[in-house]
Amino acid sequence: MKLYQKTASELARMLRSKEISSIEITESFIERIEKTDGAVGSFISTRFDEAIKTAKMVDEKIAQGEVISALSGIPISVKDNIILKGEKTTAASKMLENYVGVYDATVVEKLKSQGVVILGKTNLDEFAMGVSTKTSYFKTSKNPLDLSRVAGGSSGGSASSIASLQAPISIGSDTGGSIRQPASYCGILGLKPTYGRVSRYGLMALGSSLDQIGAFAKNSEDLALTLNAICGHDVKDATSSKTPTNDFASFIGESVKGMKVGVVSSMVNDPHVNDAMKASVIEAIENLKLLGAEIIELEMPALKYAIEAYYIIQPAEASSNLARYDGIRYGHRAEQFDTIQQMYVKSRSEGFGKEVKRRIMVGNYVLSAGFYDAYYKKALKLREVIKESYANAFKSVDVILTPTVPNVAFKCEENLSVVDSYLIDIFTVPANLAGLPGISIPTGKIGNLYGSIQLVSNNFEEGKLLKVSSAYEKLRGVIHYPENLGGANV
Amino acid sequence: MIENKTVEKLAQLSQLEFNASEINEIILDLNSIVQFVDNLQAIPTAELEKIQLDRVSSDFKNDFNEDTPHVSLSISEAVKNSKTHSDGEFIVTKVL
Repeated sequence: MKLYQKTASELARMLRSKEISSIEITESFIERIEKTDGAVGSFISTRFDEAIKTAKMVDEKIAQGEVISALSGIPISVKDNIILKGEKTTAASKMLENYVGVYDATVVEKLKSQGVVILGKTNLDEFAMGVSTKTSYFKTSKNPLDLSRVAGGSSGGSASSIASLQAPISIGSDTGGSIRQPASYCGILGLKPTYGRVSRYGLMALGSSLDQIGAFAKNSEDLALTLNAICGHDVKDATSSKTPTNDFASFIGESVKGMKVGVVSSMVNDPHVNDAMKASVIEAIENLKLLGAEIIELEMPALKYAIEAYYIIQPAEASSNLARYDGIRYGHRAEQFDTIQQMYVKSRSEGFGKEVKRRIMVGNYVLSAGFYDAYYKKALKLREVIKESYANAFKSVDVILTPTVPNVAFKCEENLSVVDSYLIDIFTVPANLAGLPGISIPTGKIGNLYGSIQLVSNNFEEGKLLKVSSAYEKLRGVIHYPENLGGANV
Repeated sequence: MIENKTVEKLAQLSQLEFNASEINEIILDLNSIVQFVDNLQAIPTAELEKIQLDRVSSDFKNDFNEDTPHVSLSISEAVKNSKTHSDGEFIVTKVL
């Protein structure tokens, strides 16, 4: 087995026992990226020299007998809307094509201080608005399990970097499903923590009350170690929680016997859900019963309108957050203009892509006089109803199960209508509206791809999600991600 | 139904401009999105009306940092990404 095929936890054990060096690990992944990224397109930029420097530093520490962190010397990929100091962070937009970070995001500071080896910045939908990376200014990331299909979005590059074995772990962001959906599409694990668990300082804001940084991995142990590395209160983020962080690794391997799993049947039976995906979800429910979990039918009618509420609140927040891009302090500035007003308008119109402009326009519409009450205020009230609905459900269940997505990854050449692309988020947005943690777990095979289930737990109970995912993967067995992408020779 | 006049007003608020073919496309897109989110109007309003969004809860406290000087971005770092800057100031077209 090649080093790049191993999990982060396996590599960390080998590194600690001095079987291999961090340089060897890092070089293995660098070689894999160089060999495969032409076909997959996970990365917008790579930083191999810096990665080798970090690996060397960790190897020296180990040689000196110094204590190292759990993920020291282990490579990671980072979504390109998370800022690195002195390096480009583009948000996959022409607007920030040449933006060089002047500070490290808090999560990046944490990773660097722990000696985690950052390989590069992964592709996303522009400003994290999308479901496929097709709105990226640079490229569309392909699904490593089937190169004719999308990797998902918006954190598509992060997901594809894992499934193509270019990195063992990755961090992305999730505003309405942007970790869980690409995780599902690429057959890997993806977890969005509770709102406030991970600092948003240095994450380019899309929807400030919805955004959360989270992790991708091939197994639950790696996911737990990554969460350990990035979670925690940050004085620089006023929305960051002071709730103590668990050792998420302590939940791995625990039994789920007696755990109460609430199944939202209306979502499993939703007409948008494809038959093969539905069969996979039903099979997963049966498997949870085999593991000793108690399945409880749940009705959550408030979730029915979550998608509409989301596509009012998110564009409203985005229209405000993206107002900062005026061509003055950073970002694209137009060449041809007569007045300062024209400079703003032309810089923004040239710098932003179609989807970003759509959402800014929708956001301003729902916030404008005459429409504010009917749309934005109503959506906020529905949000409270959704939160209450979850709070009531968690009085009787530990986790809530739904499909992650209605169907497997769509073909790259397929052009979905705007609304059809929004409907892909139908099961993931409620967790963002309520601020709750959610995970996507791959289930059984559907052709070359995988079905998946989504679990949502109560605030700060990511441990329950990891408990179920680790028990589930033990029953399902290890997923072997193909060395030859999509079955093709690379 | 969103029409030209509304799109012009929204473009002004959004600080965006659209050419003739883009205007037609954005009108279609905005109408399909608004039609989609209009499903919200089907929710019975009686229950929603009871919800107070401006309630003050003792659970919620503003989390302010102490107002003490600390290390921040230098001026040179702050202007670094601007297309034109001089002596630590952003240079733009005359405003007035």
